[in-house]
Amino acid sequence: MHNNMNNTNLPKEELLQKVRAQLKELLVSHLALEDIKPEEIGDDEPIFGDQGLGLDSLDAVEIVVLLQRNYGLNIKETEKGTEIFRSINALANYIVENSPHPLGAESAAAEEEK
Amino acid sequence: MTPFLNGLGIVAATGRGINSLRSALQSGWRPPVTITLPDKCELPVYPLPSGALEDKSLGRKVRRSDRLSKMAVFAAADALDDAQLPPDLDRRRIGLIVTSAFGSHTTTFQFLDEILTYGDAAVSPTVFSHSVQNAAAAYVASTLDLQGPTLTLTQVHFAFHHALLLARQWLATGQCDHVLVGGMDELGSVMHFICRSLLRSPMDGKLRPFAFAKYPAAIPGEGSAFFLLSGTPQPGSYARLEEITTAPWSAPAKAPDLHILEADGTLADESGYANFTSVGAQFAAYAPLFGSMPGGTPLQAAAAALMLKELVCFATPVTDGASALPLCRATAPQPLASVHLTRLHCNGTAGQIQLLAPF
Amino acid sequence: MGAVSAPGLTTSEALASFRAARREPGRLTLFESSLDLPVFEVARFDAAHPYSDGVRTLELALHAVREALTDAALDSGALSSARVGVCLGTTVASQLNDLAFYRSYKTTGSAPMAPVRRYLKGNLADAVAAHFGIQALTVTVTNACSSGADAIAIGAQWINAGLCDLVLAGGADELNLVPLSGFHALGLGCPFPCTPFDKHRQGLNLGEGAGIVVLEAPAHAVARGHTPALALYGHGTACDAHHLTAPHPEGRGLRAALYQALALAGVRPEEIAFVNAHGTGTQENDLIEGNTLAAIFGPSLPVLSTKGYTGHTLGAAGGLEAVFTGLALREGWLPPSIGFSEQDERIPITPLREHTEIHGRFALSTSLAFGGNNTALLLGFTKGAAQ
Repeated sequence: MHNNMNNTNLPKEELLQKVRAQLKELLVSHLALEDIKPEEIGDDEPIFGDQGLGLDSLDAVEIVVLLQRNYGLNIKETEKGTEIFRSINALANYIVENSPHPLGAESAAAEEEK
Repeated sequence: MTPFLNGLGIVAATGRGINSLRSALQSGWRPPVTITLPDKCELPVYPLPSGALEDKSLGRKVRRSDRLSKMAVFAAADALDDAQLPPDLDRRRIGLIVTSAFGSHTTTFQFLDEILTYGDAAVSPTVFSHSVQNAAAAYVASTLDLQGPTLTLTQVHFAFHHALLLARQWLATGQCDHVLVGGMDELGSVMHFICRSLLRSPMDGKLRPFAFAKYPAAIPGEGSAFFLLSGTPQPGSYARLEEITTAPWSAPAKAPDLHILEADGTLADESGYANFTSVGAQFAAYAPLFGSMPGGTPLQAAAAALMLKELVCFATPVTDGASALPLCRATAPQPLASVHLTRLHCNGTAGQIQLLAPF
Repeated sequence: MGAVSAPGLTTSEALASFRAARREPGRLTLFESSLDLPVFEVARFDAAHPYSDGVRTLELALHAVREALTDAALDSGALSSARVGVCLGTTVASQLNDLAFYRSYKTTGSAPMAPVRRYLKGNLADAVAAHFGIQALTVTVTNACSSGADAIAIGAQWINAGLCDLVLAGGADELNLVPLSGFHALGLGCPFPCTPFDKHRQGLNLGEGAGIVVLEAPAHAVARGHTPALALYGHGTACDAHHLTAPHPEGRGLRAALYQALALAGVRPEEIAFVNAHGTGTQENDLIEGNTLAAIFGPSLPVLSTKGYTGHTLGAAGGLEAVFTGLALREGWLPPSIGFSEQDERIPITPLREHTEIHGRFALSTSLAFGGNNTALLLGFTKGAAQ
């Protein structure tokens, strides 16, 4: 049976760690967060609102597109603004639970070529 | 009413700021940058110098903004700063008018690229938001907290002239105490291709405004310049805006001390500029420093404003073809009282701005 | 006044649609898209015209201009002997956004220059002026969703400054893939016919059209023996200075714009018979606009959004809605705010649920633009017509 949950053969915690790191890189580069380094983003820091990373509604819809392009995830309207987007941890967990390629579309393509 | 130009900001091939504008005007003609297009053809252009848009002081406010919006924000912010207005201004009484000939084409093409690459159902909302024509104005307004009327005018001819007319009206009716008015246009890879297809480059990298040529050569430029207009002067005022017209030409009542012809190679036929050579004690043309831009009036007006404030006439950078005209050929102090700018439209009308010394 | 939009090719046809409370959103036919969203196309509009190179936005604008000029009893002779201005708002027609052009460039490195030449030939206002052979002040306003309203406000300012006797003002926009795709990406597109102000609203539908008013200096009208029934008494415009895509949470800019318009007209809020709201059907717009209108005019203000009939026509919206506001004053009735059925408890105003007679001399039309600009236009009967 194809294990969609973790087809990277990595232990879950290690996978989550990689995904969290990748997410931080993605957010910083794609949302032009020039004043912050990826490693400076706290895992449990709020992503939206005035505290924490301070992203806004436009970033939110952009992240939906990022998740679609990089992780093959389609976030429904009702899921937006809920638990998934609360923090890096929450987002990483969601990706690992639901994405067909939790290490990103590029790594999935590289895997296919092997 | 004659509004005062109380602040100036500029980001162009001359660099960012008034000091670099002054240096460029003093130094005269500089060769353009030659870029190589994907098909290996070369195109001379006058782009912003690298690093001109690196400014961390505005931080997060402009983090997502595209290059065109950044140009406008920096130029507008500089103009507002330069005016040195009191800090407790009523932000609801500051207006903003942003003009452009071509608008946000690089971001628009980037959005079209998204459509082609990812399909129209999976495009970036951020790219779309920035491709909207008034995105730059939105950034300027939110960065500088301008809560008065805001407008974006996008048209190839005389957008800046119309903006000045409206700004004057807003001041005259008391709707605003101050209005930030400016223009912006950018280069980009698709625009390079368009320019290479439609324009002829000069062999030696020089624009020749006084050749009054049919089929003149052009060197595309980019940049943004903003003015802070107010009903009353400040100690550092640059000029008074005496008149703006966009009609079939009529000579100003009094010949200006300096008449700037905005010939820059963007018209198919610039021979019409020869009709203006009877009006003016001296002539100059500064397009060779900024490049060819149908929306280039704000940049040339910036040069005019600086000259009126500092009472100096900067040498016109390229004099070819003007042997008989009384040009400003050498940079020297001069008690300039009036500077006139004229830009032709292909339909025979002329956009004209008359600036007077502020005091 | 002249208008072309999904409800009709003329103001009479639009009124018939409003009287019947009928709307016809449909599937996209004008161009290809993978998005299956309802849109409000102007059906039966033949855009083939030798002059315009088939530029639909220009054709829509010209169509509405012709109706407006007829309505104002102005012929080409009158236009050429007056000082005329043309001020039009648009979004689509002001951009280098031809997909075929870009596709060709991206895939082959080259592309035909026809779309670029079209762009250079003249922006919308220039093109309209050239079509009528008039030397005019021409300005093309690209202020996103408030462009049409802003253009009308500019026209009024030109007349008050003594620059023009007549101004053709308003907006036009054709349906286009860029905003369709873009608004969908922002999560603002509604998958069913839009329901402005409704509790279950899910966003906007795009539409197309052109709405044009002929503004005339009173002295000029008197001189030619014309007595218009309606006048633009006030206008106001202010920026939220808040965010690129979201309105100010307290409607700061809209509030300022409304008060400016009222002050300019010397009209009190209680004298306003109704408001033609921007009412796009998005969560944010309707919430903020509804609350701001209620705060100024009270919760029982007669309010509607005609976007339920036309879709969001972007640059045309401000022009179309000014025309619809004028028509409602003239005809003495408003249609229901179609699409609205269930009250959102967070919005204190209740849009009209049925055909409603109106009484009163003045009305407002509001436009809230992407990027935070807010514009209000205050129309009313002229003194003679009010009696």
